[in-house]
Amino acid sequence: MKWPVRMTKLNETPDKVVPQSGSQEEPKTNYIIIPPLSPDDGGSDKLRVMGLIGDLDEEKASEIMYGMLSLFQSGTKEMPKNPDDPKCEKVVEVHEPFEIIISTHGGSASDMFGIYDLMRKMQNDNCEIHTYGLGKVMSAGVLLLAAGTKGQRKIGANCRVMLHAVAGGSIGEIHDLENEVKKFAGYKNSIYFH
Amino acid sequence: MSKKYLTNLLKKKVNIYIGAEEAIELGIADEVI
Repeated sequence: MKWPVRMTKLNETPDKVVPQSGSQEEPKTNYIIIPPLSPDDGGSDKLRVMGLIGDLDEEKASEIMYGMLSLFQSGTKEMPKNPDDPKCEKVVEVHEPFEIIISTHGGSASDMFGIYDLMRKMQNDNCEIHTYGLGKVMSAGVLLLAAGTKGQRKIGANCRVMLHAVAGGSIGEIHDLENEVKKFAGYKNSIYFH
Repeated sequence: MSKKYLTNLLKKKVNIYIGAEEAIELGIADEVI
């Protein structure tokens, strides 16, 4: 397993922040990817890890999505379609896999579906997403753990997993509440039966 | 994870706690580390 998360928020001032090479414009994300430690310093030259640690709310979902997009973009390479043929001019995009560590009590279903849809989109673009469940994977975290690339979803031996029905609440006029209840019932089916 | 099995679990209307091995049986994960 590759450790640890090597990212920092833009509004923090890390000791060593090096922008991604090869692009003239800085990526508009919440994160800058710090080049990993060299193998001589005990690190790997291919650390591509991010984490969903703690409750899943709007802010956390935004950080996760920007982080995923950043890792996806930084791992994109163009390769000849047929490497054995030197005259082949057709090029295909190859995406390096990245890892998500999940340790959460869950949170907002809408934000979870945002992350889930982004994961599916990246996997459809042939980018493997390796998921690791460590400590606790509950509620919304379960779908995200299960949404990793098949064969690459790992779980800690002492990890606790919790499933439950959808919970929520709303205040408003009666017809609005009726609509909310219908929406919640739809979530109940879509969360576990994807 | 069969739909029927999950539906039966969720019908209990309580939080269902499972361990790593059971999570693998249910298809949530593939490997214990």
